[in-house]
Parts: sequence; structure tokens; C-alpha cells
Amino acid sequence: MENVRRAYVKAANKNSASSLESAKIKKFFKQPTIQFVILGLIFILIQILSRVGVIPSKYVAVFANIMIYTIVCEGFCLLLGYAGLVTLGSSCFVGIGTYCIFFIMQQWGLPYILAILLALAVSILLGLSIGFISLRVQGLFLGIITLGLSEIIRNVLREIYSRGVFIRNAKLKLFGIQVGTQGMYFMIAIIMVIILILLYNIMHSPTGRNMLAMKNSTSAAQAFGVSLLKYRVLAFILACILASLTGVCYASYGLSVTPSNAVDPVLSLTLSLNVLAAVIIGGYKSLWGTFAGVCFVFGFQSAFAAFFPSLANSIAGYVSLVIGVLIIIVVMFYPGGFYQLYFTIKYKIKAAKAKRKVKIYGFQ
Amino acid sequence: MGSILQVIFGSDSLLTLCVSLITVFAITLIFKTQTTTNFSQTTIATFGAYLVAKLSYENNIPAWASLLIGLAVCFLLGLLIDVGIIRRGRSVNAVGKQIITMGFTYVLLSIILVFLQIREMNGQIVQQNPATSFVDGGFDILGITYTYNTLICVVISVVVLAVLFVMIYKTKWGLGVRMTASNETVAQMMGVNTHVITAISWSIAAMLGCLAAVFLNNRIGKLSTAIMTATQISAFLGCIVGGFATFWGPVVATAILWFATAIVNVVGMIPEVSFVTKWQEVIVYVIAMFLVLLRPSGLFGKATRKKV
Repeated sequence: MENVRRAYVKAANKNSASSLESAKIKKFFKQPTIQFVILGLIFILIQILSRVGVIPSKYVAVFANIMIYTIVCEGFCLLLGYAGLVTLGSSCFVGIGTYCIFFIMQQWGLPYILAILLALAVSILLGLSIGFISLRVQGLFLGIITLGLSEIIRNVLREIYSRGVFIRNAKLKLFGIQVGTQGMYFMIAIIMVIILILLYNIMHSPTGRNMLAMKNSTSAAQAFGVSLLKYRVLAFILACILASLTGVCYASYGLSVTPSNAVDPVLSLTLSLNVLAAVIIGGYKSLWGTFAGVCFVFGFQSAFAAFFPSLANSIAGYVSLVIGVLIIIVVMFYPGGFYQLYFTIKYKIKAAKAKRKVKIYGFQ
Repeated sequence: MGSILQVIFGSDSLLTLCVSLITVFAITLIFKTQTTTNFSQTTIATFGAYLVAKLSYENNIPAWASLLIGLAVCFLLGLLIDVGIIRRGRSVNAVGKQIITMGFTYVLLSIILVFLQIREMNGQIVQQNPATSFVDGGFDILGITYTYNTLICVVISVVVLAVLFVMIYKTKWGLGVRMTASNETVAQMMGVNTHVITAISWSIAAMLGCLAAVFLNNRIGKLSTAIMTATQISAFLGCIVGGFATFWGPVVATAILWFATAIVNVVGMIPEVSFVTKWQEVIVYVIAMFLVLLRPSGLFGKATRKKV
């Protein structure tokens, strides 16, 4: 046993220099900002591979879908996981972004960048108003109120313009440069990475901690000087901006919206429920967890539609079943979602490794 | 005058009221016993309507017999939901339970899409799903045309709601429901079997849902998975406008909102302001939200003071 111990220590010393280097590299890659950038680069690489012909171009839309919906879901993650506020109006916030960009660009002929800014301004106003409402109505009822609000907005949009909203992205120009579908894909990837970094910093700043305090106990938070008005309004504004941005990206990527359609992918209640499902299944307190949830809920569906177009309709029922069962299991047994599951598996592997080490070397 | 009465008390309007009232009562019953808003109420309802339509269309079973089978299946479904899932998640908070009910929505929708699509003899899915009709024909009263179907639906709704109200306020089971609604732990300490109360509440709510969806299908004449969406939204708004403090509050508030909708439709009959008909849902929802903001605990609710 002593010989084994000596051999182990010798090998460990020999590798100490190289292990220091690898520890530095590991530390670098463990930085959340770097991880988010790598994620963005992976998405960009997929588009490049598609251009070279390695990946068929129709599959790129699946990844574009994941990126687009990640934006709205991460906003919802902040709202639910940190501020403890529930909304079922995500679909209407997304719809506002889509409609704003359509009207401002296509109907009024204003530049693209101005259209984006105006869409964001409208969403800020909406967030502000819901933030104030959240001071009067709380908990379960807030969800219902936002659902009602979303229905009002959907009806208004339907009455204003009942025909489908579609933006020809060949016409999109950003700072004088033409942005096609591929350019839009890169832009969405960049937007997603920026938002992930921004949200990570907000969540780990005093603002995020104040929101968490507010979520856990409004009375205690107020006693410590946390302004409920300020943080609720801020959380709703951020969520609305991100949802509106999703709408902008959705329309800019060349996808259409039909308000008269009850099961429209943007304006229907289904989107609000899917956003909630993605955040809950993935883990509502973690950006990575939410991203995993988006891959599962939105990616799964669009991947099936892309890979098996003839089976898309028949498989929709089964996808819905899996999502529903997962929601129930997660809420009842794994409140942290995929993120908690990841750590449980990681901990179990680590424990098994340590056990094996003890078995071989006699110590850890 | 006749046309005004037709708009307010016509077949469509009365059926809409009945469907809304039944849905609101079911949601209130679950809220009182589980302290959560049941988002799957209308999906359970749609499930029931599909089952009834499938039985009567594909298997040629009479409408009333299909309805009875549908009600029985929904009763078991409600029981299964409570015993199998909700009871095991007692430690889950109210929002968590609300999300679980959203999970049911997905599961039931998938069951509808996979197993309950109504098919022709050649296996093709029926595009225009048929309405479940009880009796053909109709009659006129004061210039208002009613169908016998409407009459049956209205009578059943009134009888069912009256019986349920009597049960809640006059029977031992109702006392148990009210005790559970007040405080589940204390109710258990006083010897109330809250498990039975919640299980029966879920079953009754599921049966009411089935009834509401079949009636709505009767009115619309086209069954789809989104058939109850608008009812769900207006029922939820009715619930929070009335407040969950009493059983009758949400029911009365829903009737008020229904009356407001009818009034908007009557105003829309004036040619100069006919555009308001297009905006009837928006106008009523805005009124409802305004009322909620004015009285967050509901028109008939009690404001609770939070003690720190």
C-alpha cells in the first residue's frame, strides 16, 4: 500500500507544473462571460458549417428558433426566479415587438434601427404599467391579470391588422448594411450572448439580490430598505424588453405572425405556456437551466418539424405529453429542473469517483 | 325591442352565460379546496367534449348517453388527478400547483390530439368536428328564437348550479368543503376527511367542465382544442373580479361581465357606433381589469390585512 501511495505522490508532483497551467485554462473557461461567448460562437459555427454545406440549411432554423426563444425565456427567468413574479402575457409582449417593427418599418417606412428602438420604448411603457399593477395584485392573480392584458392586446392587434404580419428581411438595413437571413442569424446570436451576460451580471449584482429578497419576503425586504415599486417595475421592464426583442428577432428572421389564428406561434396562449414550461423544466433560477429548457421545449418541437416534416403533426401530441409530464415531475420532485438534475448527477459521479479512489489508493 | 332582447337573452347569449357560470363555479370550487387556480379546467372540459363527440359521431351512441359516459369518465379523471398527483404534491406552494395544472393542460391536449381526434370511416380526421345535439327544432317567445337544445342546456345548467349551491350551504359535505376552504389543517384536526373533500371537488369540477364544453360545442357547432380558451380567460377574470372569498361572488361577477358584454352588443346595434361590437371583448376585459385594480380582493371579497 505504501508503494502505491509513493507512486501516486510522485506522479502528482511531476504533473504539478502542467496541472497549474490546466487549472489556469480551466479557470478561464469557467468564467460565465466566456462560457456565454463560447455558446454564441457554437451557434455562429453552425451557420458557417451550413454555408460550407456540412449542415443542411433547413436545420439552421432550429438553432435560430432556440436563440430567439432563449431571449424571452431568460427574461421570464429573471421575473419568476429572482423577482418571484408570474406572468402569462409573454406572448403579447413578443407580439408587440413583432407588430411594432412591422408597422414602423413596413407601413411608415422608418429605418430598421429606429423601429427597434420604438418597439423597445413601447415595451418599456408596457412593463412600467404592469409593474405598477403588480403592486396592487399579487401572486396567482397577477398571472391572471397579465393573461387578461395579453388577451386585450391580442384583440387590439387583431382588429387593427387582421392580415398576417410578415417582414421581408431582404429589405432590412442596419447602419446602411443589408442584413439578410444569415446576417440576421449572426445578429440574433450576438444579441443572445449580450443578454445572457447582462442578465448574469444583474442577477449577481445588488439589484439581483434585492429582487431575491423581495421574492422571499416582501415584508423583510421592505424592512431592509428594498423598494418593491422600483424592483418590480424594473423586473417587468426588463422582461418586457426581452420579450419585445424576441418579437423583433422573430419578425426580422423572416417568420410571419397571423393574429386571427388561434394557435399562432407568437400571439397565442400556447407561447406563454411554452415559455413558462421551458423556464420551469430547465430551472427557473439559472440562465443555463433555462437555456436547457428552451432547447427541450422549443428545440425539440422545431427539430422534429425539420427532421421529420411529414410526422410533425402526428408527433406534436407526443411532444406535448412529454412536456406536460416533465412539468409535473419537475414541480413535484425537482423544483430546480434540469439544472438541479445536472448537479445531482455531477455530485453522484464525483462521489463515485472518490469512492473508487479510496478503494484503489486507500485515501482520497 | 325584439332585437335588443334577442341580443341580451337570445340562445347564444344564454348559452354563453351558462357555460361561463359552470366554468367559474368549477374554478372556484378547486380554488377554495386547493388554494390554486386550475388552469387545466378548460382542457379537462375540452377533453370531455371530444370524448362525447367521438362517442356520438363515431359509435353512433345517442347524445345523452354519450354525455353521461363523458361525465363518468371526467369524474374518474378528476379523481385520478387529485389522488394520483395533487395529493402527492401537498408540500408544493400555490404557484407550484398552478404550474402543475398547466402540466395537465399539456398532457390532456396530447391525449386529445393522439386518441380523441374524430375520424371518418376511412380514418381521415374530421375537419369540421360535429356539435353534440340533443334535440332538433325550436320555438319563439317574445320575438326571441330559442332552440330546444338551448332550453335543455339552460335547464341543466340552472339545476346543476342550484343543486351544487344547496349542497355547499346546506349539506354535511358542503360544510366540509367550507371548512377545508377556510383552513385545511384545522379541518383535518376537527375530523374532516379533507382527502375525500378535495377528491370529490376535483371530480365535480371535471364533470362541470365536460358539461360546459359540450354546451359550448352545441352553440359554436365546431369542436377544436381552443374551443374553451376565451371562456377560460373570461372565467378567470370573473373569478378575480368577484373575489374568491365566497362561492357566489365569482358567479355574480361573471353574470355582471356577461351583462356588460350584452350591453356593448346592444350599443353596437346603433349604426353610428356599430364599431363597438368589434371591441366588445376588449371593452369588457378593460372594465374587469379596472374593477380588479379598484378592489384587488374582488367586488365581494374581504380585504385581508397583512400582519408582520
